Amino acid sequence: MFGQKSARMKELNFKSVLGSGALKLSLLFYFLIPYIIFLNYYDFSFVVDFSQLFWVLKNSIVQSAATAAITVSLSIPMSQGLLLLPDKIQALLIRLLIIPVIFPALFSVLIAFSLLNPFPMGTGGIVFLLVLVNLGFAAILTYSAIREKLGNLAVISEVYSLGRVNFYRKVFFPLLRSDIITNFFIVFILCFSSFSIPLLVGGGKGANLEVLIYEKIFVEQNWSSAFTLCVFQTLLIFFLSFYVLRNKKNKVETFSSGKYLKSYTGSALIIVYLFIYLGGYVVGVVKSLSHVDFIFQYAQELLAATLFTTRALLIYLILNFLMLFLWLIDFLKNGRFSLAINLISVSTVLVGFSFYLALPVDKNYDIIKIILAVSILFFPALFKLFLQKAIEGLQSQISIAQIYGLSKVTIIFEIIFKQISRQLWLWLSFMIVWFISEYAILRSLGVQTKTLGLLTESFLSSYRLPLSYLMSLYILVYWLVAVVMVYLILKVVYVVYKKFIY
Amino acid sequence: MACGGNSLKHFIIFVGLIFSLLLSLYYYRDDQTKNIEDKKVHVYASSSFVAKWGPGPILKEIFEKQNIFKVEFIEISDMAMTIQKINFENESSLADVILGIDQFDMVRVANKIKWRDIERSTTINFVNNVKPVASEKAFVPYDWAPMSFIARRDEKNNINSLKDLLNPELQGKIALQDPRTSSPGLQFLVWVFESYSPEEALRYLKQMARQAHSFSPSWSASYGLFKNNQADFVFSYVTSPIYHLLEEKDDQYLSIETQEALPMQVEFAGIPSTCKNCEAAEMFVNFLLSAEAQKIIMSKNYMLPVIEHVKEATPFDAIKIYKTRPIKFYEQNKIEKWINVWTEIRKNEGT
Repeated sequence: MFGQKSARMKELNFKSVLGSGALKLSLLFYFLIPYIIFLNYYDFSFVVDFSQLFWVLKNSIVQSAATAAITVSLSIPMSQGLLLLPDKIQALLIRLLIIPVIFPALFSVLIAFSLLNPFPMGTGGIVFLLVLVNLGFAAILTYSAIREKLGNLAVISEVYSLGRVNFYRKVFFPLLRSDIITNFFIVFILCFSSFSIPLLVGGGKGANLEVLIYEKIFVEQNWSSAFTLCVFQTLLIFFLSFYVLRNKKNKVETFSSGKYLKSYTGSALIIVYLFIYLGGYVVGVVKSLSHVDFIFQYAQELLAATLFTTRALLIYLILNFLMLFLWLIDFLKNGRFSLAINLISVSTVLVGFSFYLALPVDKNYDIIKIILAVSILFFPALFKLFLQKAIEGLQSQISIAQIYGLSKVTIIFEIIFKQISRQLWLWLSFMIVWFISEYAILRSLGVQTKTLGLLTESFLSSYRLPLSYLMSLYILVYWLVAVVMVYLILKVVYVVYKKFIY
Repeated sequence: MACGGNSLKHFIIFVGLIFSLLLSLYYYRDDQTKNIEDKKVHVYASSSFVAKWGPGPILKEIFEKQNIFKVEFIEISDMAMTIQKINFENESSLADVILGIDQFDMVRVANKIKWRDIERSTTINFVNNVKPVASEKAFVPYDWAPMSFIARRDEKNNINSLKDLLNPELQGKIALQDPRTSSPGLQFLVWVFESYSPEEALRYLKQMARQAHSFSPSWSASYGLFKNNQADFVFSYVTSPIYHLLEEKDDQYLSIETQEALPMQVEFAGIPSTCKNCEAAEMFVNFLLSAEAQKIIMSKNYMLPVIEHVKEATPFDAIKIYKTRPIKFYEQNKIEKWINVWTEIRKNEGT
């Protein structure tokens, strides 16, 4: 009897380990597909001039570190400027602050060039532009960290008359130190693999690792070397992400802001930043309004691109939701997230070209290519940015729920999702806007059907700059509508799902 | 302990069902379309050629009216990537015709894959500028344009030569392209090396590295800077002003003539030897040389026709064709050497 039970237990454990291992491996495998495809075509060949490699590495590190230091420093007063404002205005400003990271690099370049004339080409210019692009995003990261970590400590400090300086010295910085370091490295990693800006304003002295990869491919057509450099860059970011971006688990608390967390200077900074960036953008849009009749001229293309983008977005969202679900199942089984979470900022060229090689250049394969490539490129980064910390913060509740025997689905829906709904919406919003405005990856994938992002790029790469400005405005409107629609659809799906289950 | 259990199974089935339903709806295709494949000619072309405002859609319509073959355009983003893919696909490649191969690409791609010789009529009267390359067996030229600097009319300029571009008052006002990533950028680099001795060219490029406003990764980025008044001059096609005149009714742009003969870009069509519908591919390439197709390419692609008399009585006839350098094919090693020189200069002299 005992022997039978023991054998059954062993069998169960074996199945469980096998199941858990299979899921873990599948999740990792999914994000390694581009490398596997590439290896099928090319070999490793590290024929790289090491002095050249060290030189571009030095450039990449200097540019990224300077940008991250400036943006994260400025993001602290800016996030406090946000907290000064009413909730509805905060929500609106968060959406506006996201805009610079989603627009084509050329728009940011044009805005920056109109601000500084003559523009400082080289490392100074790169850092200026990268700060311009990433500052709003960094402010949102710091703002989110404050809301998640500080709870009601600002109010308590105020009640005890701790004083602003003491509050920052004894509460704010000690509690947020790890988040500030994390945010520094998030911006650092985003800048580390940036390509268009170093190429455009870097001059000869500003070339970075991504530019070197590009040169290997398009100048020397040395794909093996380029692949090796891509792997090198990915591993570098992987280890950086693995060792530096490990979040300390924290409890998500109800947040209440106090006057120590509010800053008029910060609000002024936000206004100046938005005025500079969006002002430049609005000028571009206003100048382009004389071309507004393009809506009629290209109505058919616009409609087709909208429909195709919508269809692709729908499948992409379902795939991402499914992945998020499996990712969480894996987390609940193992108590930590899959290693693939560290595969952020993978080379666009590598992912795009591997799927371009592996799948036919045919309209019928466009959606599958797009959702595979974009999810591989964006999922780990977006998860790490918005969800990882919040979910890890629920660890103790999850452990208790598991002890009480709650099913994984219940834990995911009723404990995790319900408590991180704000982060989920941020995650979803970014996912949608990055997806609909994307064109660089889609070009390298050889996508044949026009998406909204590709249509914008088509205008941009012909003489039609004004039309691309108008398209970007259309994308912003589409984004807002899509977020609302997804919200409504999720509500309906949730109701149907509840009925389906019970 | 309920580790998933029924609810998990139900959930996965639920999501799986929705996902497979959407995918199957998307991939549902009528089998009849397969019959059309045999009569299709797959033409690989750039997005500007295929776009609604490009020549592709009208050419397709006319060709399909004249022949039993259907044209399917495949948009390509980069010639190097496209040729790599065709190379890997080998016999299974769909490519019947490849458009947009310039003279530099020709050298780069000629040996990567095998090309089929293209039969063409001996009575075609090519324009003089293109004649020297019109007899290429595997590549057929279908449009061309000299390249020079474009400026606004109201901008005073005393540019008569390449050297004038180095005048101090023009510092930070010239938008150029990166020769590593842009074909016009490479044209400018080759132009400098061809116009000067190696030492002079080196000196000139060093000065230009400090003088230029920027070296953009693409023609579109540099033209965007120019259009946005960030730069007063941009290296582009001499046909650029005609675009603004015809499409935007704006006559304030002009191209600049220099003492040095201008470089020119010629675009070629080629047929890979692995073509599936080779006969139709050849018909399509020859169709591009017809007066009707040439007129469409000219007016939609804003490039000049390769056939004589096509631009007569059109606004393109007003474009002054300055003295141009005879087109030449350069060895890949030479191009790489020049690019390396430029890269070194930018690394050490540039801002």
